[in-house]
Amino acid sequence: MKDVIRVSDMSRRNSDSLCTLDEPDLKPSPSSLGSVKEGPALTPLKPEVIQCCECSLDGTCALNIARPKSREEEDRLVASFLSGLEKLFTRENNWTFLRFLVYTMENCTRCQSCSDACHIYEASGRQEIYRPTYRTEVLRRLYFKYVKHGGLLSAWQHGDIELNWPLVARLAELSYRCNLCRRCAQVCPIGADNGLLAHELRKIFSQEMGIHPKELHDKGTMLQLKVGSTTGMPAAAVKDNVEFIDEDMSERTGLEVHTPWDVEGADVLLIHNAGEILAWPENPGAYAVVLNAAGIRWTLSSELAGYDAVNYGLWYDDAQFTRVALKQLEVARKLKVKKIVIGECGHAHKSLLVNVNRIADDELNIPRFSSIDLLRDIVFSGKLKLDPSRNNFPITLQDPCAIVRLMRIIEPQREILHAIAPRFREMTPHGVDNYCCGGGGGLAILNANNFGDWRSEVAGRKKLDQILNAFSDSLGSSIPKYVCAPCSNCKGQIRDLFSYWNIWERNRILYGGLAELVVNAMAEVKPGFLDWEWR
Amino acid sequence: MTLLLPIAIYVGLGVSLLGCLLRIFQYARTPVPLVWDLLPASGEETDHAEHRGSYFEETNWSKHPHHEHSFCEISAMLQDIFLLHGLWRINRPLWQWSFPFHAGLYLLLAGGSLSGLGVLFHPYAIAAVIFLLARICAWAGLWLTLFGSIGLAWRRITDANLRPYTVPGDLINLGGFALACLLILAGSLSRTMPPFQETVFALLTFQKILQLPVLTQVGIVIGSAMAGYIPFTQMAHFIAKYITYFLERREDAAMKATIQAEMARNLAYHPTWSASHIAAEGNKSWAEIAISNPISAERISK
Ligand code: SF4
Ligand code: SF4
Repeated sequence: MKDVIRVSDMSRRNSDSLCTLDEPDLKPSPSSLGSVKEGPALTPLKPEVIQCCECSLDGTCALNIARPKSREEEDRLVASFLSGLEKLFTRENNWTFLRFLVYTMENCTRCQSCSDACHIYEASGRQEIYRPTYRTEVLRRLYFKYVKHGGLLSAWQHGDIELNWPLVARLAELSYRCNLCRRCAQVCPIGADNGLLAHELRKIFSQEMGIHPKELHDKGTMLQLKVGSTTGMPAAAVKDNVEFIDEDMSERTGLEVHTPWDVEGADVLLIHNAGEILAWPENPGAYAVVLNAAGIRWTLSSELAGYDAVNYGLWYDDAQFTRVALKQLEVARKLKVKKIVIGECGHAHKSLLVNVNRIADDELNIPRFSSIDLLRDIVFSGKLKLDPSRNNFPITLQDPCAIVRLMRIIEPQREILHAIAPRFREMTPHGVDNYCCGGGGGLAILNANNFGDWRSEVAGRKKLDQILNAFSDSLGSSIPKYVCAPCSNCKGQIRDLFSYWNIWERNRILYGGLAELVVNAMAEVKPGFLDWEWR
Repeated sequence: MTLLLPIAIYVGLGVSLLGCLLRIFQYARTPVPLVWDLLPASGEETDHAEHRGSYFEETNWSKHPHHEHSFCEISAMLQDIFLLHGLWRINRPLWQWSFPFHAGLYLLLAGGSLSGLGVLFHPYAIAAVIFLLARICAWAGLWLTLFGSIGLAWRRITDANLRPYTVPGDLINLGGFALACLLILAGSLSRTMPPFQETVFALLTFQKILQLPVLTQVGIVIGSAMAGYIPFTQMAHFIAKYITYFLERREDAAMKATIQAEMARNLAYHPTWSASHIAAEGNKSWAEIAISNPISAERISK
């Protein structure tokens, strides 16, 4: 049964979850998946986790915040949160986003028009805590009470809330129940941005309290700044892996494939999400094939951060974001390349093409653009001989939020698919109205406890629905189908989603990037480049 | 009639104007932020390209100037302001109350401005036409605002989505508008109400001789108070939206020098974030933090 949850319940002083996710309460799973599970949607948390960590939000736990041992410790943590909250509203500490933050704090009319735009809210069966405005409302009340020091009049005008440790702990978790996809912001009639609010909350926890998911911080930005990549691969390992990919590509395509490294003055520095090299090597391999065939003078870099376009700082911490982004640009400056091209990774697009723009000085502001645009130019340049019949299977397209909604790179990938994939069909809705895959905002890589269940049951549910609907004419295991997802995070989430729901076995739907489809259609490549194996 | 009414009107309008200016000033002086995306304001229809794409779809976008604020964009913005087109698209049940409410306020604003104009031109024949228009606007405005505010308040109380997020202030704000309109309208319908032109003239030129029905007088005082109060509440979203919209739509390439100067100022700020990985230490600027490495304290050589 769905609990009735109010904003003030965030301060509730007991360790029970604010809401429980029972399968029958969630948005019904696609009918093609057969009968619905009964009972709890998520695997229950282990007793030892419940005992030692703050998990009182919704039956999952992404952060594993240790429970304070005493009231004094609780008070210290609350004071630390409050100090972060105050800093968030000062220009010295938050010039980066203060304008949008204050705007959303002070102007949202609480009309709730944004609620139904959120796939998480919808998929959860409209659980109140996932409503886009719920966490914002908590923050708004705290803002007027503690930052603006409003008294009774303010409480009457903006609502009141009690600040205590249970609220802070729940708010930390709640900030990681949002994909930062900003579909809600797109529909808001006044342009308020609840996605931004989740981002800003994450900053209080990271920048003031040192609380962040270890996947984003310790194994993310910190590892990248230490060894060069969030994968943990130092330069030598990346080079080895890419050499292996080149060999594999040569064998599979019948062409001589060679990836150039650290070519000074190259026309294009290509930066992939380094996760591709380990998880989906055919994507960087396909780029090598296409760029070589198109005769482009390109290179990869083996410098620290230069071979990994990832920037998890974008999702939780301005200092980490800036450090990583500047390092990546610095690599390109040192190599004296003419342009930087960002591989198929949504957040990397946004971080390197949009967010870093104003802080990079003239020397670092090297022209940068999307690999999708480059692929489109190559496909239509006539330099490749393409045979679309090789892609004669149903294909649909995942629109990564960062690339499509936020940067509005919409048509190039479609132009390519229309040219090389005769059975391409859109999801509904698509383009700027797309739904997030459920892995956006860093969630795709969070795996603590049963968080993976939450991603597949709640955050990814809408996407699964969309994918199955797009293939409604060819479901079942006899026809192979392909979800083209030109984004590493989307691919990671879709992989987990498909595994969780057994989609490969039931429906033979594979997922992969865009460049792979181009190579698969290249007439000079041996037929059958695409490997119809689950990975 | 005492001088209380003209004073209330002028004070209400003065405070409102001042409040709006303060708001504009408040937003304009927030530091230039990082670019968060292309369109912070809801701008679905503002892209000229049919598929709503952006200049990022070109490989050489950084070389080409891309223009902003085309005719289509401005027309979309006007539709958004006057017809609440954004709300119409996504929340029709709310739009049916919100639109009359907003249209009513716009009409009241128009009626007030026309009245002022009528007073200025009163020696001329055109004044009669201006006052007629003002009267139509004011009447329509009062009815629409009344209708809209009651409808909005009703929805806030009865809609399960809105109720948990409705605070007393919301209802009192809407109630204030409804009450002011109701009282003015009720008084105006009485037989003792002087003609519109005389009333407006007396109110705007501080004349004491005129007798207005008590209901109308109370309504005017409440209405003036509401006008002064709007800019200090979230009802001022109309100012914020367009200020932010324009501030954020400026094109980086065109504003390069200004933005660089503002960024230099931002990067010189000394943050005080306490988490150890930030290593702010109270004495480092953003610029220093950005080029430091929390792992090895190594600097990116520039
Ligand atoms: S964010 Fe926008 S759409 Fe959502 S409640 Fe606030 S004003 Fe309404
Ligand atoms: S940003 Fe996306 S996930 Fe987050 S509240 Fe908005 S719609 Fe939901």
